[in-house]
Amino acid sequence: MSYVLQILAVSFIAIFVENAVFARAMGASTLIVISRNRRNLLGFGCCVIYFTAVTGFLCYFIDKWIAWNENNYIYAPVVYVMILGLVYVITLLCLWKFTYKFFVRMRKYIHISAFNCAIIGAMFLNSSYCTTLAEYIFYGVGMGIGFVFAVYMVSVVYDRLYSLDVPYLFRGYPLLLVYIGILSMAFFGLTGYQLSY
Amino acid sequence: METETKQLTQGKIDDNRNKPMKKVIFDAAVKKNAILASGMVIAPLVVYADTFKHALTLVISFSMITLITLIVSMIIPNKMVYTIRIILHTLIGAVAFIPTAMILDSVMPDEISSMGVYFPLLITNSMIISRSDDSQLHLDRKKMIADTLFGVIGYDVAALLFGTVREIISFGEFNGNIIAMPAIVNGFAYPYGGFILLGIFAALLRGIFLLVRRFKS
Amino acid sequence: MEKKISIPKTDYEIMQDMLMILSVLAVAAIYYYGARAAVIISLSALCCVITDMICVKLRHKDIDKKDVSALVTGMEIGLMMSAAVPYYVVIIADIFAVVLVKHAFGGRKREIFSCSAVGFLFVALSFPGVVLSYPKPFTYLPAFSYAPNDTVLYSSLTKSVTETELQTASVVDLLIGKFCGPMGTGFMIILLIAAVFLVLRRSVSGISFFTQLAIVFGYSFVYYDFNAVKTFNLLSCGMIVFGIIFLSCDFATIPKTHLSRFLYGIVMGVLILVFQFYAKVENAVVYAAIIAAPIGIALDKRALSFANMLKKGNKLMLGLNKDLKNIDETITLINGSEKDGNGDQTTDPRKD
Repeated sequence: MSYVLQILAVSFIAIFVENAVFARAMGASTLIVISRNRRNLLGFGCCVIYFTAVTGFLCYFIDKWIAWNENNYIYAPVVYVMILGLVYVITLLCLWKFTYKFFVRMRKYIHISAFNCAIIGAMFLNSSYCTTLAEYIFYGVGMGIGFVFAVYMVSVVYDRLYSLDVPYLFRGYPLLLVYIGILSMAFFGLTGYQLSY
Repeated sequence: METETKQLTQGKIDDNRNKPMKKVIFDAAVKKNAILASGMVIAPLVVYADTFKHALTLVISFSMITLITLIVSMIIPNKMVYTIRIILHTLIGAVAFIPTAMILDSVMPDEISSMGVYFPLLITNSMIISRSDDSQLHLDRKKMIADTLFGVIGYDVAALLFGTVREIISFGEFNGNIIAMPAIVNGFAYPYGGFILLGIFAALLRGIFLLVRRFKS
Repeated sequence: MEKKISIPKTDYEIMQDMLMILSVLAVAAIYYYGARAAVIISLSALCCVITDMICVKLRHKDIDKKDVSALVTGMEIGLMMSAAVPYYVVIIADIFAVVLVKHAFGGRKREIFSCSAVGFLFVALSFPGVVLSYPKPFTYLPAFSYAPNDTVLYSSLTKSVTETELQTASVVDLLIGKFCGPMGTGFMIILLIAAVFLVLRRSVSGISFFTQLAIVFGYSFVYYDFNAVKTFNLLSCGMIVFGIIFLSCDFATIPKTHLSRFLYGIVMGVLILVFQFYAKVENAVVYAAIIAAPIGIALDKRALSFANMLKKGNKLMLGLNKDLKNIDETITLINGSEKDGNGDQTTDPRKD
């Protein structure tokens, strides 16, 4: 029971306390693109969570393998990108082979959800925070959910940020940053920003 | 949906092809400035670049990784499938990271270690990712190099300016030297302050454009 | 026969009610902290009004004499401050609230967040040393010094309640607000009467208010082993009641339909508890009000689509949700008016 609670705590921390966007500002540019199109938020969310979970799972084994080198942080990015690329290609191939319609609909979102800072960032953070396989996977899932949560929070008010009521100087991108900043300020209460980067 | 996207992309490609060199440079450096207008690579800026020194470290590492990656990735043929192209782009980024990290580790080890996870994250920065997008292709070689170079220069100038202003208003210092300020608001040194200050900067850039447009007309 | 309490209909009347309560709180604050409290509150109100007027002028809009929302924001920020806070901090909070939270988002009734909550939180996080240190009641500080340095300041009662969980003030003191804390947010007796008054006048949403209060009270009551005094301690300090009335139930930012107000109340209540018991922050309600605001908008949108669905079918159900009679109007309020097609470049900037 305590183990389950610990795993849940890890996910909770990754979702809210160390939220990818509000606490670490990762993947903010992807967020801007995605929040424009809310209809596929669910599909995008599933893609992101899938990628963070699978890469988290693979990272557990890879981290053990590259732990031999003192300067592993220099070579780690190459290995991580290769893993991500592999997962990405296999996923696309599987979807293409088995559910072609779904593949056509989701292709765009799979592209955008695989290669962004939030996913790669989750892989790096995984290796510095987690020790067990379950922690790797759930921390990854938590990061993914946190990222989707941030996208949702932005997509909810997207119309308002781009509304004609907003002064031209702030309309759109500048206001989006101010909005994320204000939310990030409130999430600050949870972390106190005692995060290590 | 699919056709709409195609039309849009085609339009962008045509626009890019017919752009004069001057416009390419102006767009890359100022009008579509990576930080102030397009929202690219803002994570390390918001979290890490709270002082001039940090901004400088970010600028050096970002410029090295991005320039090497984008120039090397020009060899990737345009006709290649998007899926493979994006993987190759990031892979080149990851390979470019190795010499960059080695050089910077020996030159400024403390600054680089303080950057933490944001240093390796530069390999998937949106400037590199967006280059693999269809709309960015079909520029001729010269324009592509100018676009890349001035895009990075635009980012660097904006990042340094941002870091400097942020250090002055949140610590009352410039590069460690104390400046007399009536009030120091150190909230701007935190990520939330970074977001808000960046929003203000983006609004200011738009304000400048507006003034110029009014002045011209 | 008893006279029926009149129900305000316009925003102006709602704001008048709010101002009345805030003035009463201000008088109480001046009684406890003297002239400096008066200066802080009036400075804050003045600063907000002037900044608001400048912003309205800069946006080429007409100044609406009946729009006193800036005054309300100013007074709220003033009352949330410590009596010893330097004046420049108050001015920064005011300018931040009016410029970046109100006008940047499109002005009155277009705000997403409560202006005073964000303004206060920004300075509380930027200057925790001065904003979150308080003099004891009946400490009369000099009004016209930049920042009183020689006064002994204490951390708030909230902090001791959240961190050590020890009860440190008597019920009577709590009722009359005689404890270390923000100037105008601790007078429970005034606040409770004000809450009833505002709910009856429909200036504050009763559904939302009571849901939040019930959740916070219920959980804390169980958490403190059914100790009513401790629970009351928690509710009185940390400006929970003040925050629920003025920050989360602010008429400009609260959801527009009854159903979403109820759900918003639940979300707010849970968030207050998370920040209070898990994160152990001071003034949990301020953080909660900010995070709950976009969730409120999301709930509104869901409620609207639900109501649209009902509109075609069951009219009886629609009758239960009176706010939804003018669906189109409400939709404009929630979604903002027409969207700028291409976001950044297309619209003629000269309009603004």
